[in-house]
Amino acid sequence: MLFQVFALLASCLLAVQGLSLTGSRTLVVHDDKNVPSADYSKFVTLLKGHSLELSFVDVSEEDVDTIELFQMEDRKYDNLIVFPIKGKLLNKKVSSKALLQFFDKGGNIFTMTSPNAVAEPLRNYLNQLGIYPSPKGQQLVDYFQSDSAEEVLKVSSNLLQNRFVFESPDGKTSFSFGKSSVALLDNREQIVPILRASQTATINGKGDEEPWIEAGSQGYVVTGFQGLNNARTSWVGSVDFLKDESFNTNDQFISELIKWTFQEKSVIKSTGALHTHADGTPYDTLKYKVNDEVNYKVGLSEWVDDKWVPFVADDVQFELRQVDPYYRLTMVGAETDGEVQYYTTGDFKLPNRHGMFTFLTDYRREGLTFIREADVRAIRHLANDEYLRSWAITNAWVYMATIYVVIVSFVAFLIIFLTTSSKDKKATVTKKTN
Amino acid sequence: MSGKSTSARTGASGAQLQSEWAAAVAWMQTVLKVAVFGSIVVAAVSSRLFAVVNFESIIHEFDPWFNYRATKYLVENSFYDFLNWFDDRTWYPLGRVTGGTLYPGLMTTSAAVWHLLRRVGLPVDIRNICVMFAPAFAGVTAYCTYKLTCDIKDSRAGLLAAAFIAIVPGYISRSVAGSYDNEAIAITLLMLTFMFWIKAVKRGSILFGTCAGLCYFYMVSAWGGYVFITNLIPFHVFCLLLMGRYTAKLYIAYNTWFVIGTIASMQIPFVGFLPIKSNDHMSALGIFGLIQVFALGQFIKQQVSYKKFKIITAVSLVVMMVVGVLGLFALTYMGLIAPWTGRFYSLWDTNYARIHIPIIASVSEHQPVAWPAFFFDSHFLIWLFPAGVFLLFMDLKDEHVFIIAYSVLCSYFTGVMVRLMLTLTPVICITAAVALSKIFDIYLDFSQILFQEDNDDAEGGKKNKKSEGAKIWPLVSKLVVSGSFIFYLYLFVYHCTWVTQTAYSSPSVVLPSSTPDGRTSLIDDYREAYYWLRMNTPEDAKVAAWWDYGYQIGGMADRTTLVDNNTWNNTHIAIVGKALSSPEDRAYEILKEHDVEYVLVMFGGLIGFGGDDLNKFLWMIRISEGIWPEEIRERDFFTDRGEYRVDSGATPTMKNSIMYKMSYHGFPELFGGEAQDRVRGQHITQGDVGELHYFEEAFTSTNWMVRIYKIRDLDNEGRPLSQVSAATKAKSKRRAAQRRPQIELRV
Amino acid sequence: MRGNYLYSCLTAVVLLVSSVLGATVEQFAAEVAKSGHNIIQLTDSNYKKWLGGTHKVPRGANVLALFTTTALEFGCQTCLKFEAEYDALVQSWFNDHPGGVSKEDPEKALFFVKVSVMKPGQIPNAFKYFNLEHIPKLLFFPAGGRIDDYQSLDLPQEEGTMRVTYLITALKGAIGISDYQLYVPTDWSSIGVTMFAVFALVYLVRKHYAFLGTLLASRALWAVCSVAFIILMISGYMFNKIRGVPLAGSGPHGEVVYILENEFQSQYGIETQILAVFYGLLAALVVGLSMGIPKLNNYYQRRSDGTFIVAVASIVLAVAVYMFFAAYTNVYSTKQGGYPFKLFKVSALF
Repeated sequence: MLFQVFALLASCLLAVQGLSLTGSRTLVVHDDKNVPSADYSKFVTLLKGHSLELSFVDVSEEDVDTIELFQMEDRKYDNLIVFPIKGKLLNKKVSSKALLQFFDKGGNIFTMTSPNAVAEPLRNYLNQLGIYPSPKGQQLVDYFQSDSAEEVLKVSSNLLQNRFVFESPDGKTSFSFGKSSVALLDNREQIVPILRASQTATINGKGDEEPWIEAGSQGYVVTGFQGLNNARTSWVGSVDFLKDESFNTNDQFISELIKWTFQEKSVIKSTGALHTHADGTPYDTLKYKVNDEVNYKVGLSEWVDDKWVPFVADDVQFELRQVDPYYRLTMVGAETDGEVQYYTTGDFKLPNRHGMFTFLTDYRREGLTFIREADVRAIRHLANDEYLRSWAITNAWVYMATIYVVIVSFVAFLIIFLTTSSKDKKATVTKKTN
Repeated sequence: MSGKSTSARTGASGAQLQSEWAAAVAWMQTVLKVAVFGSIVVAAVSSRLFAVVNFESIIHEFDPWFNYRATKYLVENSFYDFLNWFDDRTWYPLGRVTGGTLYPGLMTTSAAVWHLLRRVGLPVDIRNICVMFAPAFAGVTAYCTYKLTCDIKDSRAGLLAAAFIAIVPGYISRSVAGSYDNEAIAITLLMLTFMFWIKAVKRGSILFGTCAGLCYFYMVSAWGGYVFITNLIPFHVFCLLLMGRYTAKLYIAYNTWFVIGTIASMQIPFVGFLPIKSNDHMSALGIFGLIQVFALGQFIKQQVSYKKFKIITAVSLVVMMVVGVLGLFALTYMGLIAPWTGRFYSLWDTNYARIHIPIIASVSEHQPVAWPAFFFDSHFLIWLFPAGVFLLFMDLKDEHVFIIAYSVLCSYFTGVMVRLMLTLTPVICITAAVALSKIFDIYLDFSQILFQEDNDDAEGGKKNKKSEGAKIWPLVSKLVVSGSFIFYLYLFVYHCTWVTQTAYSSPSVVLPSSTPDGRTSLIDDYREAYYWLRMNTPEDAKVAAWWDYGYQIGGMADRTTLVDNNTWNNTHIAIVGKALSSPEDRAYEILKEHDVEYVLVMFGGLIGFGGDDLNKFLWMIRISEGIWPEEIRERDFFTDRGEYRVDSGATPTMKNSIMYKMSYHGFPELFGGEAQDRVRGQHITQGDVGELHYFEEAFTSTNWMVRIYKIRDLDNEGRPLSQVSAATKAKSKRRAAQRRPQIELRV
Repeated sequence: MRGNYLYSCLTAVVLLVSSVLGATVEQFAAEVAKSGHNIIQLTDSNYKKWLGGTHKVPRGANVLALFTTTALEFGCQTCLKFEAEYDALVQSWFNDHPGGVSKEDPEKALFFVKVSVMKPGQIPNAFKYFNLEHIPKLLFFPAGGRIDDYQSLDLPQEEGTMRVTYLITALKGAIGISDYQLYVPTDWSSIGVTMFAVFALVYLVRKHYAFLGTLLASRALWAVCSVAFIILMISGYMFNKIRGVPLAGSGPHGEVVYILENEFQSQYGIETQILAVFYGLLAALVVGLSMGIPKLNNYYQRRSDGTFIVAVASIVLAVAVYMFFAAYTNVYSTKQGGYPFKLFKVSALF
């Protein structure tokens, strides 16, 4: 209790470094017997620096029974940090189903495993996400670095995979991992690989078991996951990575990883898409018809530290779809108003095809929030009087002339016929004789 | 007749009396005629009201729902908007150029009626106008038929024909109250056009020719079946030409009709240039040419000697034949004239549709007719019909040729396609009326007997004994013959009423049924389900269902549909068919691609409703097989022994299809694990019906007839949905977790 | 003579053995050579031999078996039509491959067998063995299998050469060969008949030109023809043609049933004929009443008992109309059970 009060005070005292967009109520689940919290004071300090409201639960204490993540239907916490926990301790206290539910409801989860402690619920949860951490007893080693498995494993920063999570300023540092497990990853687009194991790494485990990876490049030591609801989970293969003694190399990375996981960075939003006729008339006033010139605009903002700023990118695309895309245009930056950067397609011509079209911006980049702005609108055909009129088509002049010539000559014929018909009778009779 | 014989007898002295007598008779006749007509119209309208009396004032079936929706659109918007209406709530995502692909005659007529009544100060709800539209027009049809038959025989036959058409079930089938369909107005216009055409031919009148042309235009604007007129009138003219009955009257009538009718019909957007491009219309164009040649021939005949004329005729005939045939081939080959449309093919080559166009073959209206339908729809008129045609041959005036041509052509078409029973019915009525009135002319005419009586009195009792017999026997025979036919007429009325009541007065949106204890109850599942859709789904939700229900979903639930009864795009229909006959994951992909949120299926297994989707399923398969033969195969849905099974013996493909799963989802559980499908008479067990992973049941109506499923969202974690429920169910498996997962390498 | 004797001995031995073992290509070829039509006719005693095979000696060749009947009692139109097509299929194969062996791949051979039902009561055992309920049925027995290794071949909907072509394609796929071509035998008889008919027609037209003219202009002929056509159409002729329904059905005890009872939307072929007779008679009676009786009246006007004769004639006609109409409604009420307005049968009086 005292610990918590202290933490709260400390967080208030510290300058605002970053603010989670989704909330700051954070639960830290740890097992003091397995991972003594004393070794992680720097990490805790770091967390406090992120202005998170921390609550701690030590599962090794007997009096803790189930950990309630929910109050009725609502989440009690916004973020969850799970330290490696030994054996069945976690089983009773929090289930993999609860973790999934927590994630589905938008909670962010930061997890670690270590080669000697992979709690079952956590593994099941990660497996559902398509992250498969190596089982207990299999440890990642790199014999090119050192002959002994006890040595500290280092992973170079040029194996970093995602610049939205962390981009090493020099690219030359290596992060110390200590004893680390490794994960295989599924091929889903929600998975954000962060740090790969080095190519030379391999598995050191019990002899009879199948090694988790065949080549180092298959495995990952740090990975993230972002659900379709934009909640984030990250997993670190080694708890030693967060130890105080590793902090001199890892601090920046850890800080950025926490920021990413708890939605303090790489969060973008759309302020809405707008499409109009080229002259600015909105759809509701005048519906689109085929071959109309229209203009599409979407505004994007990015959450930086504690405020929204314009999001700048050069790969925002617009699609005009009817099952398949008819257009895919890369938009260019237009005006910006301090918070929002607007992107526009400029004027473009609608296809010569009527139907229901989706005006779509589907911006998905690994590590960034998924953005989808879809608007289904009808593009109508030309009305009966919107085609070129006959007198405007030069080719039609011939036919029009013919029509009038026929009319005039018919009238003329009638007049002549009626006025002269009586004279012709004789001619008929004479002809008949031949 | 009686007037004539009287005048012969009374002589000049009774001239005064006679003229008064004649005036009185004429007056009586008029009063009687009006009275008869009044009752015919009342009978026509009231016999069509069973549906409203038994159920309620509601639009029936499928197509009328679209017509109703279109009429509402027309009433709410301007005619210009209606003409250029782009409907974004059907055929998602293609949309439908509705204004350009419908026959606007029906909607404009009822909108005109609506506006007129408002102007008069009688604001009537548009729905009521639509419901009562068909009965009202049935009265008009009776009048047109009367006029037409008057021109064929006389007013006696005319009254009979009018009475027949007023209550004959073949016509009622498509014109009961609430059956707001194109046919409701089309038959009236058909009769009107024919009436004017006969008048034009008889009199050689430009006025009537023009009227026929204008009515034809109205007909074109109202019903696709106008092609029948387009071919029948030229056929009539052609027959007359062959019979050597070319006259200037015919020339005038045909030319006025053709020119005005064709040019006017081209103003309908849906028809456009068809009259000069499509082969359906070629006969009219050809006869137009031919009749000019005949006119020219007549002219030349007057100018030159017979010998020369013969040579000219022979040469020009050969030249014309060659040029004509070559030209037709060349134009078709170059694609300038359209190939014959599919529906037309199915009339001539009866196997064409079955093999090549399953979408046409699947429609029950396009099926051939077994004989009971004819009797059912026209009672004893059906055997008077051939007799009437034969009797017309005895006179064989120009107009009789028309009726004969109509009878022969239309009886063939009806045999091929049941929906054309509707066009055959009027001619059955006319010819039967001709036959019957001929009989009544003879056997209901007692004037001779009365006249003989007078004569006997004058001559005295000399021949009394002989004349006794001569008087009694004709009377008896006349009474027997006319009595028996009057008895048939009496029976006819009963038959018609019975048929109308039992067969043609169900709105098919609401189904009648009886409870186990004998009370009648209504099955109102359709409306229940559509109402649920309307109230519980987002307004822009897309609903996938087989095309039969498209119009109803659009009209009653007001939700966007993928396909509907306007089957203009076979591929799009095949997409829905493919989705319904595919396993879940494939179907999910297809439906998601089309933004579908709800899937609606009909299931009749619980109450034994035969017209459900599983019974239509084979057509869905066939139609999609036509487009994707390598993905959907009809063969896979039949057992090895060629049976269509839905119980445990069903093929895996059948059991995996979402149509099967959606129909039977939860059905066996309802009866504790094993249930009998009352339509197919097979037992479904719990093990047969696989679980649904990608869809969840959203709504099932009271009698389980309509089942609506919601498509699940994509999984937040990106797992295939089939694994999601497995994951939530399965206990954590330690063993499995220890083994390396079988996943593709990350690239 | 001796050879013949040896041959028959050998055949007997082979027959004995082969009731257990599958037949080899040579045996097939020999049997085919023996039978005139290149098709092996199967009987109860030999069908297991030609279709069968065991683990040790599997079937040596691919076999296509047709189960059919040409017996008229069954009224199987498709069977009759397919008969000639099957022949064309077989002859096309043996035309290129007299020994029944594919030229591309001598390992692959194809032979054809046929099982026919001769009489309704005598269903061959093979039908029972394969559980067949519908004919014609094509079963394909791939080489190397046993009697239960077969697949059913669909009979395409199209008729004539198209169907044979489809089947050839299917067989090519099933066996895995490509040297199978269709040879359509030139039907000289048909050409001859057509030519003769055309010649005769032209000759007759030329000779009886005037008569033909009167015939064509004959109103009565046209009237009868068109009325007959209409009657055919309204008695469901097109339904028979399109649906290809059988002429008549059979009841639960094998008796012939002419009218498909309580089936409003379907019918047998013979119903059209029954109905056409009804319509024809009723129409004739009505015509008689409206045209015949007045003529009769004119004819007998001078005679003293004329009115009586005319009256009796018209009453007879009217009664006849009633009788036929009553019969008609009774036929109808078998089609639609519970039809309330059928007429009282006159015959029920007696």
